[in-house]
Amino acid sequence: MRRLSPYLYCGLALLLALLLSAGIGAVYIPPLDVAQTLLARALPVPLPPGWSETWETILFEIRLPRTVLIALTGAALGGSGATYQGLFRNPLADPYLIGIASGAGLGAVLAMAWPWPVAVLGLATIPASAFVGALLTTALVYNLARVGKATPVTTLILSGVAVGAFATALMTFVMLRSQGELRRAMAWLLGGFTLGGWPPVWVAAPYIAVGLGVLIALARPLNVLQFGEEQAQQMGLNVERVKLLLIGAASLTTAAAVAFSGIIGFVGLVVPHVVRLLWGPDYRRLLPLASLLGAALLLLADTAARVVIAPQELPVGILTALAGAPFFLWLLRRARQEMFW
Amino acid sequence: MLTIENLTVCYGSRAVLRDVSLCLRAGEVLALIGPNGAGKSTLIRAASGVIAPARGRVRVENEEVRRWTPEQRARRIAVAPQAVHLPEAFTVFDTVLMGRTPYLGWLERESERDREFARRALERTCTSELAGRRVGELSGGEQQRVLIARALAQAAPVLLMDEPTAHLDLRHQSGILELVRGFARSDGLTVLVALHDLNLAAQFADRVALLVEGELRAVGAPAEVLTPDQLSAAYHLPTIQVIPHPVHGVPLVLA
Repeated sequence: MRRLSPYLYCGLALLLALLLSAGIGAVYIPPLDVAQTLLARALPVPLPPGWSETWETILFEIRLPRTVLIALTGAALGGSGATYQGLFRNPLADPYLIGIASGAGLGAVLAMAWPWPVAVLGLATIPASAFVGALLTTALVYNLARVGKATPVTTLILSGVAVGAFATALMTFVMLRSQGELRRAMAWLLGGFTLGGWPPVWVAAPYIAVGLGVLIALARPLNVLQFGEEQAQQMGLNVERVKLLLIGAASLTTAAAVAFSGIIGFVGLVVPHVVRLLWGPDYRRLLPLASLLGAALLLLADTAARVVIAPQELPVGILTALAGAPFFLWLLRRARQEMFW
Repeated sequence: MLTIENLTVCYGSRAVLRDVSLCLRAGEVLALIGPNGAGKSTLIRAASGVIAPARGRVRVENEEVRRWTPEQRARRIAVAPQAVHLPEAFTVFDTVLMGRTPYLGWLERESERDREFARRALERTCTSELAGRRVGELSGGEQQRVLIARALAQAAPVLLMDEPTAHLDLRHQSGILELVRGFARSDGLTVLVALHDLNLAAQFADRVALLVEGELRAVGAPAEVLTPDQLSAAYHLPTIQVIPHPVHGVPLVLA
């Protein structure tokens, strides 16, 4: 596995997942035809034989927006999950465990509970509000967890769980009280991609691109941080500043993912672990690889979620939890025998 | 080179160090000894600039370390901590290369020159052949050498060490201290090392400082500090005896 470039593996996995996700659904479009049609848009390649207007509409108006949004979400979850694990030097840290996803979810629900914010201020209100929610949660958790000048992992996780539970309770309350259809909100919460079309993609993409870009750029300082804050400082790292930037960028990324895709668990937890097991702990590799693999895995999970009880759709969050939780438990058992952290 | 002036450090309202003053010359190894809880680790941490003293200051080359940024500090003061809770999955080479952090911007990649520094540090600590191994696979003695290599890669004139020989067997204990004393002699490195073992301190340090309950009780050559009276008082152990070491001639403490 180590001989060939890991980027090649993850890139191929993502490409495959993209084609499958765009091809499979109520109307089956062969993935190779999808590839050829996409190529035909850019290069002088003929359209595949038998290509129809219907397929064209389904592919470009329905499938692809969702596929791209899911890929972005998966990348965001993989990248921010890896960052939180590194930031708090805890393999269990993840956007959900430390309450940040719930904070972002509360922000998003507040923006969606009434029709006017989105109607007046546009779709970008949702991720912006989610970002504010994520940052406020992070600030709250961080300050609650702070003992003197340090942020011990235990107090961090505990206050994260408490604040997250509080935010989730508020979020549920707002959802129950809001006039909108509860079912839709619930589906969103479990990771159903209920908003259709390209607008969510255009709104989420810049947030996620900027967030992941900053995270990947700060991978080397994140490596140094693995020695603990005091050692990192003695090794010449401006720890407080690096932490602030990392937290900001990871919150931004998480917020954008939660805003349009709801709360999808275990991707941010499992994907970085898989990458670490296969290709080692260096964040300069881990962050881009976890983003690529996160995108690929979430696409596959979503494709499966559309197929298993067709014509009905399963919220993808259910599927990632069903597959992710046992996998994570297996990882935990493995960790007791051989170190991988 | 390294000057500690009237240093008082408090954790909450409790003073852990009281009015400690020490002055280390370039090329000197000074061992910090004292009973558990005497404040040895705190003095090392304060000297590295990561904790703010209540009073007093630490200076290197006549500049106060707390005024420097972490990058500036790490270029002058390197710390080789105890080999515990290390990130285990990084390779030895990557770990040592991270010693170049104070010379690199956040977005900068390590240059060939940085790699050369790391390779040289590995050579000098006899860890070159471990370069590709993961830190978690190494023995305690090897890990400690790697941490010293990382500190060497920082190319700082001052080296601080907190109990580098804890959990090591006899051969590795003297091996580590021999190595560090060699660097002090050859490079003029200033070394402040907290040690538990009085006999190691006697054998490898130029001077010894005895710290008791946060106060400095004695500083001087091993033979001046390691006396039965001073040690008995410091460790509350009236039976301590000191005889000359049969091989090295330095004091040998028997408890």
